[in-house]
Amino acid sequence: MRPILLKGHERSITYVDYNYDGDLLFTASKDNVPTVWSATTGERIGTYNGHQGAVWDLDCNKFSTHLLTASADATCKMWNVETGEEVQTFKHRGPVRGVAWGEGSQCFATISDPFMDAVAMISIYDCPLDSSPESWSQAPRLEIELPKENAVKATNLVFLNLNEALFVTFDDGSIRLYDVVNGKVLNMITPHTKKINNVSFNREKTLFITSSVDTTAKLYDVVKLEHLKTYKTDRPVNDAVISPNKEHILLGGGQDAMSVTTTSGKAGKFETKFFHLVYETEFGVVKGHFGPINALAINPDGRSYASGAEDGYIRLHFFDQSYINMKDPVPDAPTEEAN
Amino acid sequence: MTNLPSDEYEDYMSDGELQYEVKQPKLIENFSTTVIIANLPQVPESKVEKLTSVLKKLTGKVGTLSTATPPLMPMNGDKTHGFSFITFVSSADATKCVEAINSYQFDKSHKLSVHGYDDVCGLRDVPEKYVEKTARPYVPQADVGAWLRDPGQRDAFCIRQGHETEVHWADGLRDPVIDYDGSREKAAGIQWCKDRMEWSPKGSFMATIIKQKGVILWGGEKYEKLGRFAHADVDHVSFSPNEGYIMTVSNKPDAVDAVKIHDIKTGKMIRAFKLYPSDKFREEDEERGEINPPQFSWSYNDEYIARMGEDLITIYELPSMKLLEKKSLLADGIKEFQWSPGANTLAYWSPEKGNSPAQVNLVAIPSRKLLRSKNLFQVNSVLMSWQDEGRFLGCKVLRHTKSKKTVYNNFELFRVMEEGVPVEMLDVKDAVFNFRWEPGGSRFAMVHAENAGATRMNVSFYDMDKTVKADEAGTKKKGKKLTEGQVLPELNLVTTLVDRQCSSLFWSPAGGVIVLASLGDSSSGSLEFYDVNQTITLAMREHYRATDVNWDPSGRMVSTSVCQPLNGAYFKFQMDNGYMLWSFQGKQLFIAAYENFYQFKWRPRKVVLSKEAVKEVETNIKKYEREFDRADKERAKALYLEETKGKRLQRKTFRDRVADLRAVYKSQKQQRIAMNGGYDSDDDSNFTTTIVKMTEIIDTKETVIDEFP
Repeated sequence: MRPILLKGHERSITYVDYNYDGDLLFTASKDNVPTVWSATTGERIGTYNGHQGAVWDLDCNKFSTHLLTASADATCKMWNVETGEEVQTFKHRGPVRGVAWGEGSQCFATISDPFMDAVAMISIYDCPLDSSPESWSQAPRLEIELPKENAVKATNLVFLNLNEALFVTFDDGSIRLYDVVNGKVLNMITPHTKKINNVSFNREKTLFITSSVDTTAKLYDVVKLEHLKTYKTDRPVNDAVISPNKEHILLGGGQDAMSVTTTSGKAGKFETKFFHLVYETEFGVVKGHFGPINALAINPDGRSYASGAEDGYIRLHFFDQSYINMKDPVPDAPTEEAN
Repeated sequence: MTNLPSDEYEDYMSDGELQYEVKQPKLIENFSTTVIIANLPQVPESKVEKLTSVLKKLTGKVGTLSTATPPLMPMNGDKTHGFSFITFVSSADATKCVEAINSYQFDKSHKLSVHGYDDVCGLRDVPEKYVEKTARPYVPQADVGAWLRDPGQRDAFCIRQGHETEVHWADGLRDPVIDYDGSREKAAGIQWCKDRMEWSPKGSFMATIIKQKGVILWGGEKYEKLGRFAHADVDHVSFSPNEGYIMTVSNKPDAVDAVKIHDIKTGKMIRAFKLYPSDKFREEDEERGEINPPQFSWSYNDEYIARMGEDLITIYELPSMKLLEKKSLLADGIKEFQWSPGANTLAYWSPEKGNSPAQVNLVAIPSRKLLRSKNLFQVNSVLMSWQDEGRFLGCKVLRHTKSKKTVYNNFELFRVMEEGVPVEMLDVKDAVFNFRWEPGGSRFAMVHAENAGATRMNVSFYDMDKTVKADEAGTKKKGKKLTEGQVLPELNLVTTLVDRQCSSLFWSPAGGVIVLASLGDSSSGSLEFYDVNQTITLAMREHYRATDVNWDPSGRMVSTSVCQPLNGAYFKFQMDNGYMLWSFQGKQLFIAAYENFYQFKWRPRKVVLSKEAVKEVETNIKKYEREFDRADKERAKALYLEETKGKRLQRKTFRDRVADLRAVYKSQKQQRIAMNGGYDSDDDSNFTTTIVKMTEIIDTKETVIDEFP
């Protein structure tokens, strides 16, 4: 089916995400204005105006009442999803790179880049939504300084294990788990040799997939942090997501935005690739963008997905019936092994 | 002397006893400087002095005689023995003497026999009784033809990507599979091939080039090391067509052994040469700032190897590597020569010189008989190309008009196999960029365009043989009646394809099909698969930025690849590296992409069946088709079972893992519900429905319907 082209942003897309129910699509862009769209019709429902810089990340809470946005203007803002009003602004000392709600939406965490003499920092805030925003503390509950050696930067963060641990990815290819009480590093693994662009989890947060500049995406087990699968491509991978109801992986990327102008769109490798989750084999591509795909999100019902690219467009794709009916390439019962 | 370092001059300053060593001349402990001259006239004592002085005069011309050991002439009674010992100052002179004076006609009845003293001494130690040598135990050699007996009738190719060198099998039906990837070397901590690799012409050997050390040959079922040929700074290798010999070349103009010829079976070097046959070529190259010396080339059956020199071609016999009949083949003004791929025939051309015209000559070796000579005028350059069986020789002659202002092309086509070697001419007004003979056929294709700067090309196909068509049958030609299907030796145009994107031509080794490709920097990598027999285009394809097109030896598949140079990759070559496989009809079979891709080489395979056997197969093609189809199906089935078995196991392991994880997730259910304020996110029925009534007033309009009366 023809995708719906969501034209509303003026600059490259940095992040796209569905809400928990899958009826809203939130998008962040370098044009300062996070936007919410109808996930079924592609209609633009509203924008959240107030940021002074590129918006790098956003997160909507489980009940779709409050939205958090992280921006290069060194603030993290909380919005009322329905009215678009700004609830609260949390000032940081450097550009805010990522933001994530904690389970239960009573706290959230941000990562900020180093700026001037401020170091890179993970900050955890409390925000009991049932009390008035004025009563919240502007100061974070906990601040964790990121390792200064080698000047690594954090790229993403997620609360794990019932808010006991904070999962953070870095641009040197490593992942660290922090204790949310004392800020100590609980565990560290290095799945990639180059920058981890993105990480995404399945709905139950039992599996995660990392996408890296080293042209691979890797699937890990959340509990044991064990490597399960590797998906190899010929391009830097910007984002990868796990399908909720099929054993599939969607993967997007493309050449480094800097070298895009040197090749034709055909050769830029701007397609969304489909891989089989278990066999690690590629079985399909979806073309359309004319810039590298920066962000992917698949609807929780598994029937549609959205991709946002450097070209400033979001493409909202609805799967054909043939895809939805698609069976595993390997039949269940051994049919011919008897003879 | 105050600042002298004490330790260095300790001995110098010490008052100890003076120690010195008497310098004595080195004792020569062998007789390498002495030669024995035998077969001298036997003379009485009175004439010894005379004979000695004659001998001194003779040997003195070759080298400096030793004054310490004057010539010795032993006596046998009252007459001399008829031999003499001559000692030189250096052993080099002695060796030279043996070469120079041996077999010298001293006088009417005495032909000198000269030998080194050491060599003769060797004869003294020959045991009286002949002891039969015990044969060395037989060590079976690696079976270099094993790959030809592949049960799947597959073809092999080798790729160089990243640090890897991999040999794959491909059959055009399934994805290529790895045969060997240097795992044994990897386990030993060595990279199998760091530089380039080359196949031998029949595919028996694979040569890996190690720049600093030389060349290693690999072969047999397990790619064992079969030979190594030491050559520091080797730049390229060349196998003889029958794989008997290998030549290694390093581009060092000063080295005396820049070109080495080795015997593959014994592993020994049989002769070495300088890079340039004479200083003239070297000076010319230095002026141009390049290294492009005349290369040695092999005759088709490994009998000769030849190189161009100044106005001559030096031909060496193999394996002795002696100059054929001790003299070079004179070739006045020669610019380039080529061996015929089907006979020991040389073709060479020479440009115009003064009043003498440019010439293309065909010479038979070893008889040196001039088979054909063709004079040409107003020649800029000649490009010679043999048909692969040596049936035809095509010469693309670039000529200029008398005013030298415009150039045009003219083909001289030699029918080499026919009596008297008739030559046909073909004038082409257009600029010609490329021309290629059809392997095993009589056709050739050329790329031409109206002017040299054109971007859209025309491709023309010509046939050296004309098959008489039905409508021409019965007509007479040169007094002979023609019949349908008769083949006449007559050049004719098959077809011309106009307005094509094409820079290079690639004929299928099986003939009939050709790939027209536009390769190189500024082009798109378009590929046209064209069937010349039916004159139809089979497919139009594209491989963006492709640099290479290669047919597999059977003509089933074509590979296109984007390769980057091995030495110092440039930025523009770094993108889109990898290769694609296509069927000969242009169906895409396989794509592989790599970060760095250097080489794609099909393993060459010579047709071993005789022409009759090929004919036999062609007539019974139906029978073979069925056989192979059945084998293909069986293999596909086996492969499918194998794959699904592995995958099913993989899937089961993975699903079990996911189930375990879900159990962990479920065990946290109560805590999660508590955290979300009593909301159970796993319960799908756990939602509240709120009906929101919305009233939207689209438009309001007030109209007076009717005034109340």
